Amino acid sequence: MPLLQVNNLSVSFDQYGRGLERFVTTPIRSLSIEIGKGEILAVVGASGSGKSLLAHAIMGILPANAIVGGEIKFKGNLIDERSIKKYRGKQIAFIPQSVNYLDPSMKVKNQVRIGLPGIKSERIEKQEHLFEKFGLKKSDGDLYPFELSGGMMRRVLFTTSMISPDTELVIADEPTPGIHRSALDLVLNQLKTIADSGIGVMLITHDIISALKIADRVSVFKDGCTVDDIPASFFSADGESLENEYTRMLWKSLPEHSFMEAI
Amino acid sequence: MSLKVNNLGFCYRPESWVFRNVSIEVPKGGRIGIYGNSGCGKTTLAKILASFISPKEGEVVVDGENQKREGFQPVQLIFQHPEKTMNPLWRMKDSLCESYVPEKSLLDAFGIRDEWMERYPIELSGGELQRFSIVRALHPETKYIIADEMTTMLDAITQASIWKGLLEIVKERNLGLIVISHEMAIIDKICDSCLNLEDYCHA
Amino acid sequence: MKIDARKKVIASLVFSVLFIGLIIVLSFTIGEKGLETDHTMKNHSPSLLALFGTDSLGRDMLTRTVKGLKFSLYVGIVGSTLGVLIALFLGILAAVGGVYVDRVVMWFVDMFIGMPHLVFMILVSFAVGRGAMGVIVATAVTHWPALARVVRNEVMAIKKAEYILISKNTGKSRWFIVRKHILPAIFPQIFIGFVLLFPHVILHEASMTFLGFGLSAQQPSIGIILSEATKHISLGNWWPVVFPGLALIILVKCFDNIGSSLRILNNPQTRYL
Repeated sequence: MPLLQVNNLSVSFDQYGRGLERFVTTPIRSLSIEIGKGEILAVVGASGSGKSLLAHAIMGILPANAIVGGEIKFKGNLIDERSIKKYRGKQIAFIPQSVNYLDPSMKVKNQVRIGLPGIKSERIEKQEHLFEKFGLKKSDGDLYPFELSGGMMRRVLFTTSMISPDTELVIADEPTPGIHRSALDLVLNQLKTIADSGIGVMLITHDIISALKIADRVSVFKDGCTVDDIPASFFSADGESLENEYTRMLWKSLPEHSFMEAI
Repeated sequence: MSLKVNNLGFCYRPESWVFRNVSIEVPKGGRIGIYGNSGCGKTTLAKILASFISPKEGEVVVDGENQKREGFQPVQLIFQHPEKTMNPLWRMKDSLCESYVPEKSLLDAFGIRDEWMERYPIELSGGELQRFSIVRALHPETKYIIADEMTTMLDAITQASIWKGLLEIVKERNLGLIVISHEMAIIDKICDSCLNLEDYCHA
Repeated sequence: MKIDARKKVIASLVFSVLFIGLIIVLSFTIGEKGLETDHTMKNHSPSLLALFGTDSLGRDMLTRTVKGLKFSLYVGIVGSTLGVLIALFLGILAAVGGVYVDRVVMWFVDMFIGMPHLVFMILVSFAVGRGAMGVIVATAVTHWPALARVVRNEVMAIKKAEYILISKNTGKSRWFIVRKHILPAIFPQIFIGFVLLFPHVILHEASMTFLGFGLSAQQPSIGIILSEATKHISLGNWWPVVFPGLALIILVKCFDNIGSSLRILNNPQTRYL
């Protein structure tokens, strides 16, 4: 039985136009994914293809006007906005994408400590250990979120995701953009270690090259639909083994490959 | 004719330099890449070059003249997050034509469709918005373009097509280009030379 | 359920607007006749002849109430408009004028907020000379500080937006940026502030006239009506107090309703609740 199974998920938004007139937009039409224990699934696709919404739908943090269709199963149990509460932050950990998820008026070290277990001295020790693990300096903890650069912020978000011994699934939403190579490797290695300990990892990203370093399988999203789901090994130098045209295009247009000539 | 930076230094707090002694020269038509770790001040440098903020040390000389504070800036910056660079209350055509009315051929070069013009920024994707913000920066008086992580948030296909469009115009108008990116592959493909900002960091 | 919330908000908005509209229409259609003293009609309790009853001089309370509310609305509109204009000017000045201007303006705001409203208004109305003018000036100069602070904070937040920096770098003037970028962005806050200023101004107008500052006794005003009526309440004449008082409260609540409804509809976080 897969750890997480998403079947035919759709997400619509019920929006108001002028006055009382309403209309429905459907950014996610049909997404299906599956993650097993200890497996890393990379979810790639254009911005606006519904990658982040998928994570938000699983975590039950969509805005109030969202309408969710299809089914999400965690270890065989159907989950929805209400039942996710008992897994959220425990069995399922979430690393958000946006820096807006940090409290702007609180030193980052204190924000990280909030979620950690134990008494104060243990939490301080744990937080400093986490910072070290992600290549953050001890003095960085005294900064406020606005003083952090994009890459540092990502790493701080990582440390706040509270991966605990109970965690069985980690959802990381774009953990890599704006981050430098050495920091990137740290983050990727961390995810790999997490997966090796038997935790399922969903890595949402548009950085295919980095994702391929650790991913077992790749799911490609386009316009709110899953267009391709293939093993990571299919992505080879020239992309000839990629059958789906969109996937092949995505692969070839990378700056490491043909880049502009692919267009 | 060049964009010249002499011994530039910047700090938020006294004597706590983000970077110092940065000197760059971008000739007209030249392409220079700036690379560096997150937190080494790439965006700050970009903002100084485009005169959004003043340096604490050193000077920026544009075509032999010291950078001016008022009026149109010949050095235009393209930001990482296009959705923040558009007034959310304005239709796209108003944002686009705020400082000049671009020609149809320029819009076509970036694949901007007519139907996008009447929409508001939240109704467009990041890639679509970035196309608008690039065209807006390509004012006839623009001499230098700074692309600060311009396509970092975009997927590979959009990224490649946007760069293709921009490079065509840059070549045609003989503009100077500074590419700021953490992705070496992009700088390798586009730029003549590259500078690692970390070498100037004092952190 | 999600739809109902918005309908409810709009229903309360419509009710409030209708009630205020009714008062305005009535205030222009009801004749002056009810304001004349009539000794045959003294102290009548509410009846079909006089819906709100009559007072000790035989004047029709409905007419007096409506005319009083008309004056309240008049003071409210002029007072809040002036207040909003002052707040807008000082708020934007503080936000775009630099650190020192900001400090001076904010010092003024704090000083005005720190002063007791009523005492200050009485002083101002004395200084300007009594009558309607005194009431209007007094309410206008005391009600801007809180809104000025809101405007300043809004502008402060928005002026760092990238699209405004870009606008400046493409050679747009400060005036263009204020007019085209900043004002439209803060308009909802200003309008809501304007509507919510109304009840304040109206209540203060009523308290001033109640205390005998401002208008002469013949002029219809809710404050004067209430202060007269309190003298007769011990005789069991409840209607000269209850109806005008109730009308005033409903009017104030209506404006409050409009302001809060607009705020709910304008805020993206509460828009869909």
